[in-house]
Amino acid sequence: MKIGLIGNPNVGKSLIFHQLTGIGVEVSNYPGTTVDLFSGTLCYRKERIDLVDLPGIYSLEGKSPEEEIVRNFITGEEVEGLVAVLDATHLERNLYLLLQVAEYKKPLVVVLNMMDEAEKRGIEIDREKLSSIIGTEVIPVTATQGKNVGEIIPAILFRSRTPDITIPYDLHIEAAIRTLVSVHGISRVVALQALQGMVDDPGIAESAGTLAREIEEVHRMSVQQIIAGNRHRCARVIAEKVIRKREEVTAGSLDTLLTSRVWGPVILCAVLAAILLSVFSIGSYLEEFLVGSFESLIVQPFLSLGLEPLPEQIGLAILLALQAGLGIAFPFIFTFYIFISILEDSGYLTRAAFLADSTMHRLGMHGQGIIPLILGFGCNVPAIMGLRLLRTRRERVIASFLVSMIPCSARTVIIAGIVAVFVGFGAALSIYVITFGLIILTGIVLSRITPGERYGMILELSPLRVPEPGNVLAKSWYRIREFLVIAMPLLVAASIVLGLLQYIGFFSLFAELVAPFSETILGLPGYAASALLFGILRKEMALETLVILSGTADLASVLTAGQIYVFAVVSVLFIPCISTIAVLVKVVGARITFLVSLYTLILGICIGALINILVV
Amino acid sequence: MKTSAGEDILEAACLLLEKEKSIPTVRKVAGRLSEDEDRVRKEALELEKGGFLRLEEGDIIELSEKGREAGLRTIQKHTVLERFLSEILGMERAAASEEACILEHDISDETADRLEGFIAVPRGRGRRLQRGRRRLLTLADVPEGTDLRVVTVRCRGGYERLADLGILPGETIRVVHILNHKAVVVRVKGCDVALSPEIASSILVERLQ
Repeated sequence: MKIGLIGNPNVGKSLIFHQLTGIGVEVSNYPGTTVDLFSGTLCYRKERIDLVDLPGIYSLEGKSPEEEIVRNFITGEEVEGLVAVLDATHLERNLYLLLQVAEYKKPLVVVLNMMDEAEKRGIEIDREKLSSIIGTEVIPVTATQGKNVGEIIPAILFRSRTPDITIPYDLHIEAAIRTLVSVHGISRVVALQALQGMVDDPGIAESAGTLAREIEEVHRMSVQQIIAGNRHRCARVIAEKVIRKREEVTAGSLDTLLTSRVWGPVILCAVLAAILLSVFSIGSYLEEFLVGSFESLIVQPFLSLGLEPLPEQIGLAILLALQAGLGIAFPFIFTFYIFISILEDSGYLTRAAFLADSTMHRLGMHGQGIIPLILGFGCNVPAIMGLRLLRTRRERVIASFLVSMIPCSARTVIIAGIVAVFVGFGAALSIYVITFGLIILTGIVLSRITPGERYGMILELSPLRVPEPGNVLAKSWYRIREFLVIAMPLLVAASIVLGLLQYIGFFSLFAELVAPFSETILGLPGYAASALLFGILRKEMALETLVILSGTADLASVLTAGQIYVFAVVSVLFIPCISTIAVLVKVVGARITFLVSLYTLILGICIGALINILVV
Repeated sequence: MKTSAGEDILEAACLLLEKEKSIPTVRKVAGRLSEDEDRVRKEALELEKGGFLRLEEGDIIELSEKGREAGLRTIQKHTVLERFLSEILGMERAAASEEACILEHDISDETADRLEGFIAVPRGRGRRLQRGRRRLLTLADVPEGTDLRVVTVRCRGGYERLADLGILPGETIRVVHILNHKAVVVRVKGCDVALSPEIASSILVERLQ
């Protein structure tokens, strides 16, 4: 039996989902998109239930990928029931979506979440009345305390009903629906969609288009606006009937401070800086421990097996890839995601987006664009996946360039590992300054030359809440899993290829070939250029390879401070790592990926050469 | 009393006088309106009684000050309606002109002025102050803490999301926050929604008393 959880964003849907399904959750990419669907299986009295957590949406009739997926899901044959999760503190707004869901005539159970908060605000909801108006069972739930969550499954299994509420639309809309239904033999829902230009069938689309134009002429409003207005009015009427007491919500003083003109940006910068600093201090400590134990427990015993050279090379390549992946994934990226999930669940991330809107405008994006950019500091891979948040292709293209240039944790390892150690703290900081300067410049230029539509930001600020530790961990885990699933296999494969190349002696050949070029332009010895090549596999591997190829961990004895600096700048800037390239292809296509790689390659070499000429 | 047929005559006479610099006669007016000369003459006599014009020798129409004003007013209404129908609503020019001929008689002076103001506001941000006309209030023009009613939502791309969140004509909203570059946070249906400047400036509002 397949059941979907449906609701607005930030209504506690995911929390209910996790509480119902526990940890056995599958993440699947819906075909053709990058929107994730979480599904989990649970058993109740020998009945097997597949529960799907649908993405949070405001409407069922929009064009965004999320809305399309939810629409396809609930019109699907195999769906046997829906659980609509409503935020009891914002009932009226949530009823808008519920009314749309009700039109699809699927067996339904309504869950009123956040009852504790509603009670605190003095909101009383007459559940019986709501239940009789909508025609389904209404369950009051406080998901943060797990209260009544257990009622949901028995209710959907045994007591779900098809809702019998009908939204009264404007006379003209109703007339048009009747015409379409009788002429084309379609359902009321399809007729409504056709009027809003969402049906592909040419015959239906044509007559619906004619009717819609007539209605728009009379009303001087678009059909979508009229329909939305009717639904909102219906939602308001219901809300007025069932809510006994209502209190005007005033913005808390904390909220006012967080979004204030003066302090807002200061707090935002402080929060980001604090997160980055803590991630790297916690991360480097954990990494040392993890990589060290992996080395002594697995790599050393493997080497002592004394295998043939070829299998040994391949085995070592696999182990090194695993070691590197784990060494970066858990200490840095996972820690980073915990912080980001806290920011997200507390509702601060949407405020950050609002505050950043003005700055992001100059870079050709909107406030939401800051979220993937921040994620990029952890790892570029999930940040690129996060680009689906952006609504236009234009913004996604610009952001894909900028995110690929953000110094992720691996690049920070290089900067901290060699520049800060061998050259100095100021020099390490200056690499950040150079990188950010280039990111800003790139953004300004791209915002001028990238074609495509511009949309403004329309973003609901989610209420400020204390995050739930369980939910934060679950979210971070799903995010890190994205990294493990996509990046790890690539890492292993690429590592094997590089291992084989090394086995056949490609690298000494490459070093020889590239040496004249790298010595004249970048002032770097040939083996440093080979090390840069390894950086494509995974950024901080450039550093490890450099250490191996130069034959000493004390780089200052073989390279000058200038050479180390140039090496770091080039490896930070040039070509995103292979995993980033793979997701880029998936999200923005091969052409843009190629452009991003080419651009960063040229940029890296040019800036490196420039520093080499000017400074060294 | 002037009828719509009477207004048509005043309008046509005015156009002949102002635009084509020719002396309006019953025949020329009838020609412009594709009307029967006798009917025009009959209507003109009615207008003469109202003091809008005088019929001189040789069917020459001489407009009084009152008649000229009424004629110009009708021309203005016609132009505004025609522009509104074609430029804003996207109708064909010819069809818009025909429609304007019918509508021009019924709309009030205020509606015509407001429509003109509406058309005069350019879409982009920043250019709004160029015209001296009474400008329409947008969400980007009001201070924090103001309660407002949405009048029109004019932005094209993605305004379905605005409607879904409850920002549509007739809804009451409150401006909660404004940032320096005019991004705003509005409270609608108890939820806070952040809007970037170009969206805020395309939402026309009026203050609630």
